[in-house]
Amino acid sequence: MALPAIAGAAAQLPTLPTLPSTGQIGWTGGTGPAGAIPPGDTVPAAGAANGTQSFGQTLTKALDSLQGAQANADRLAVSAATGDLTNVHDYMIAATEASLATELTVAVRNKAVESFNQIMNMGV
Amino acid sequence: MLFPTFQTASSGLGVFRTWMDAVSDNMANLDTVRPTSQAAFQARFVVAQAIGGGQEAMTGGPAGAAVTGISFGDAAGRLVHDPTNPLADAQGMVRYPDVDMGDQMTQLMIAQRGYEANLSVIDRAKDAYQQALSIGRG
Repeated sequence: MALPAIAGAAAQLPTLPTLPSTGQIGWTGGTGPAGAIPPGDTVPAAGAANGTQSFGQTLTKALDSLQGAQANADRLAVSAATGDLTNVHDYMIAATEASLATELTVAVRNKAVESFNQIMNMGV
Repeated sequence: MLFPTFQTASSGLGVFRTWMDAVSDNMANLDTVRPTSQAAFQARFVVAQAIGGGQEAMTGGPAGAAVTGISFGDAAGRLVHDPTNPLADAQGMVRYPDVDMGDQMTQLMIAQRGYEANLSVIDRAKDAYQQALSIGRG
């Protein structure tokens, strides 16, 4: 089962800005928040430049992996039906893997939607 | 690799399934008679080796075991006096394979238990992964 629509949509996702790394966490006395963004310093649009992956890229990679697992399970299911399957456990493992990968993707999706809804319901 | 435990357990399942295949081959040929001029049926033994040097389990790479070959038992077999056998030589001797059924049954049980153990590893790993996916769901 291919998921080109979702994978395509994930590629279109705007890349989320990464949090600026300051190397200092928390508050230092009464002098205000440590690591506040200095004026003029723009938040990087995507972390791709410094080697980190944006959320969209990570999601696309995960979806690719899911698609690979499902394609593998499909291939083994076909070989089971045609009698070419030598190892029964190979198919069962591939099917379990595909099912787990789907569950993982759905869990990530649910978390992302949940976060989005919480932000949208934020009272300003 | 998304779920390395599955790959590792799958390689173990493959080894034990091959072992069961070898045992079934030996069992099927328990009474394979050859004339004394030929070699007897040789028992099949599965040669398994570990994949990698042991660091793979930590790094998530492919670990586990693989069948690297088949070695064969004694070609001389057992010489049995059976003059009525059409394959018997002038002295009435034929060659039976040197395969013991009790030994083969034991090997079969070990292979089956090993297969089951690897299946149970997969079940437990699946449960663990599913538990991890339910983090924060409650």
